[in-house]
Amino acid sequence: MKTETYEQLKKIYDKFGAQEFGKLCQQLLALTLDSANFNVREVRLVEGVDIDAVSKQGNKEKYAIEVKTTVNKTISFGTKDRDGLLKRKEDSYQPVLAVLRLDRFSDWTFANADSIKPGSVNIDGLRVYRLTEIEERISLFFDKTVSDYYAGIMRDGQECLNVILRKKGVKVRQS
Amino acid sequence: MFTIKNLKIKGFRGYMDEKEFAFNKPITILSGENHCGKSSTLNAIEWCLFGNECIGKNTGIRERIDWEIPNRNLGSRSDVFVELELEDENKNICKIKRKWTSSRKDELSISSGHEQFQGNEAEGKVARLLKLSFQDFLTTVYQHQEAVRAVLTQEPRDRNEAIDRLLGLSAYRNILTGIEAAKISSKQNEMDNTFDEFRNKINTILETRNKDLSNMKIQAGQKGLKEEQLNEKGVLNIANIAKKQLEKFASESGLGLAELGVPNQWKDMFLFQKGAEDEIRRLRSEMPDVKKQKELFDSRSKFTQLKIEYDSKKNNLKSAEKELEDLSMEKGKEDDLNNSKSQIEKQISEKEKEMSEANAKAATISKALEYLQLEGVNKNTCPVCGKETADLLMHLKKEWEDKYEKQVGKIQDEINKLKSDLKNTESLLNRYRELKEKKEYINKALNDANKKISELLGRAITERDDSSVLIIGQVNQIDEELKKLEQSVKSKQEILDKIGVLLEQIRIVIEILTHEEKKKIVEQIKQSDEYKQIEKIKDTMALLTNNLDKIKDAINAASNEEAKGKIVSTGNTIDNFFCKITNNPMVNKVNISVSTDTRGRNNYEFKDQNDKEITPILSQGDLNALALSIFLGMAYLMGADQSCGFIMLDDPSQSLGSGHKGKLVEVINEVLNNRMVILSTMDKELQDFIISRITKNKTQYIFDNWTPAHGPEIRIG
Repeated sequence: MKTETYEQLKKIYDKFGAQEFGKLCQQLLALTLDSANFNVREVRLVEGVDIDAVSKQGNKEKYAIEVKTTVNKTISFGTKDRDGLLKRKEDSYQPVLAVLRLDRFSDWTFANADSIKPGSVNIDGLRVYRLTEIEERISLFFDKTVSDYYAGIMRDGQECLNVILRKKGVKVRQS
Repeated sequence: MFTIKNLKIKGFRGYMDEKEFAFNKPITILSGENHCGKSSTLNAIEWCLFGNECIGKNTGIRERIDWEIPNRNLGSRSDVFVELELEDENKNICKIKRKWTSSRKDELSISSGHEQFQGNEAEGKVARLLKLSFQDFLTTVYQHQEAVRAVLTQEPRDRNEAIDRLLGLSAYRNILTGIEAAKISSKQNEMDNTFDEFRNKINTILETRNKDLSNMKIQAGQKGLKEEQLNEKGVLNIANIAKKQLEKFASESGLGLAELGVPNQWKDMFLFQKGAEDEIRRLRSEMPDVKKQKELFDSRSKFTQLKIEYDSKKNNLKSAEKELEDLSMEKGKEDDLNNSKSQIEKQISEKEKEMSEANAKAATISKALEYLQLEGVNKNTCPVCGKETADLLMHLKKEWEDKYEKQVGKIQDEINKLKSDLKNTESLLNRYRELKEKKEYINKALNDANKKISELLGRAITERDDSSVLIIGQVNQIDEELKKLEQSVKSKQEILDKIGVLLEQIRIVIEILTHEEKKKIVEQIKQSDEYKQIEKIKDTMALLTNNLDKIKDAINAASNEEAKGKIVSTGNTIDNFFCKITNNPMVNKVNISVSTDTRGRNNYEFKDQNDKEITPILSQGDLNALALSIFLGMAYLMGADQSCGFIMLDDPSQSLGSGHKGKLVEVINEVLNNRMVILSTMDKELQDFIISRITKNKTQYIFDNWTPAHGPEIRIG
């Protein structure tokens, strides 16, 4: 991500804290997927797999995405997360773990979650399972998404993004 | 598979003299009391095959720490060696000789047929021949007491490893150990940490730059710059405005302007800014009004200076005139003084004449007195006239004192007084002269000053003019002119000041843009080839770690599968051997099972007929019997898989009762079907059992009479 994006995300993180930041990143990712020619079917802010998205191009691959954000080098990938993702395979969704480390040099990592063992997962260890094609598509739009909605997020938090997601026809489940 | 054919030992541990053993029977018994060299014989075989690997902490055997190879009683340690003759199933003979050279070094040679190898080449050859690590040798060939105990009594991890080795699964273990020793994960972490440190440094740099930038932007705001001007377009606009204003100013002032090109990009703006600053400095000094102002200041300064000079001289003149007047008033006029001087001179002349006359007469009397005072002279006869006078000398003396001495003194006093008066008068006259000269000099200087003033004013100055007042008038005129100019110059300087502010703004924007560019360079590190290279390396490392994990999983799975297979095939034999040796009523059956531990390694369990773990209820003898059963069971069944066609049992009857020993011998008798056995024991009962119950041919070497000078005496029993 661009330095400006990092700096904006850092301000969002500082204002809203880690948990809220995670949700906001989930929403920002959903909006980015939308810009990157994915059909984002559902965003779950409460429970279950975080995002269901279907590529509008190529094989029209379906992805069930579990979103994780951190400021560290590792993320916690629970058995529940893993099981939830694998269950989505029944509906032909490819299980994906999407990780964003809040770091000036980081970008979204998209990893095939089929073989990822639950537990504390080193983000660098996910390199083996990376889905570089999605990463490249996302990286083209993520900076702009953050820049576009930064002011709104700082003002209204999650609600700002929920409104936009709904306007785009995305089903948003929240508590 | 090879067996030992022959063994020569010299100077090794308990040995002094060279001894030779032939191993040409299925079983060789080394018997004798403790400290007679039996264990040294087994150790010699081990050392010959593995050298320094047998020594030290890494062996896992306590007594091997600080283990000494040469016999301490050996005078010269240059001849310590062990030579082994091995024979394979095709009757090929291979001779291995290891010679001790120092505590860290030995020399190995191996000859096989016509081939001969030394040093590292020989080590490699032996390793290929053995196909065993030292640890494997300790658990599958050499039944060392400590190694056997590890099977059952040590930490589960060590026990499992020992059993893996007993089962011939050490190759898997060795690969896993090798993978772990490579510490790829820790290297990966190290690399990640180093990379993180680098990223942290970059972060710090960028945060510092951000702070600097923020301060610079505050400063820019204070200088009237707006956010939207802090870019290339903004700075170019400011430069164009500054240039136009300078041109207008120069034109209005009737002055030329140096060529000031506004560059197309901000990076070249520095030259424009510096050039414009120089021009402002030049314009400030070359403005006509400023020049005029300067001339007037110069002129004013000259007039003021002249006035000071003129006034000073005039004052001096006045003071000189006053002095002359004071002198005249006080001491009289000069003419009067001149007259007085002439009179005094005349009086002096008269007095001197009088003095001279008085002196002539006095001189005559003085000479007469001198004469009369001579001896033999008539004191009453006048030396001048020859007249006889009574008491002439006394008379003359009295006359001299009363008349001439006083008279001359008086005249002299008068002369002195007159001279003093003359001196005073002359001094006053000199003072007159000096003052007149001074007045004349000042007058001349005053005239010179007037000339200068006349020149500056451009008009003649007569005696009737007061130059000082004329100057004041002129200075006042200049001041009026200066006042008029001041306003004009001030307004022009203000225009230049405003252009100066624009140039200062340009400087600030350049500084901000330079700073932003530097920041961008750091930010773009991520796009650099080097960074991408690091990313690739990290990808490779992650893949390697992942692959290694998979390899480890695969090895563990293969090892586990093979272990299960071997346990299936040897389990009954081990159970059979154990039950035979121990005859323990509590344990009718030993079931060995293998599972995997948390690391995926093999985990062995020994349970009885009721599926209960047996090790907690076994006596020391039973535990030893169980270890021996595994060792011998494997030797019995897996013999064909091993490169070594022999096993070595060191004091196997420890903790065994009489019944155990008899049964152990029966088991050994079975093992002898597949492997040659070299057995060392001090146990007479065991020896008797072996001799009476082993159905195979046997050789017994009896060790006794060990002496420091010669080592053991060895005879065939």
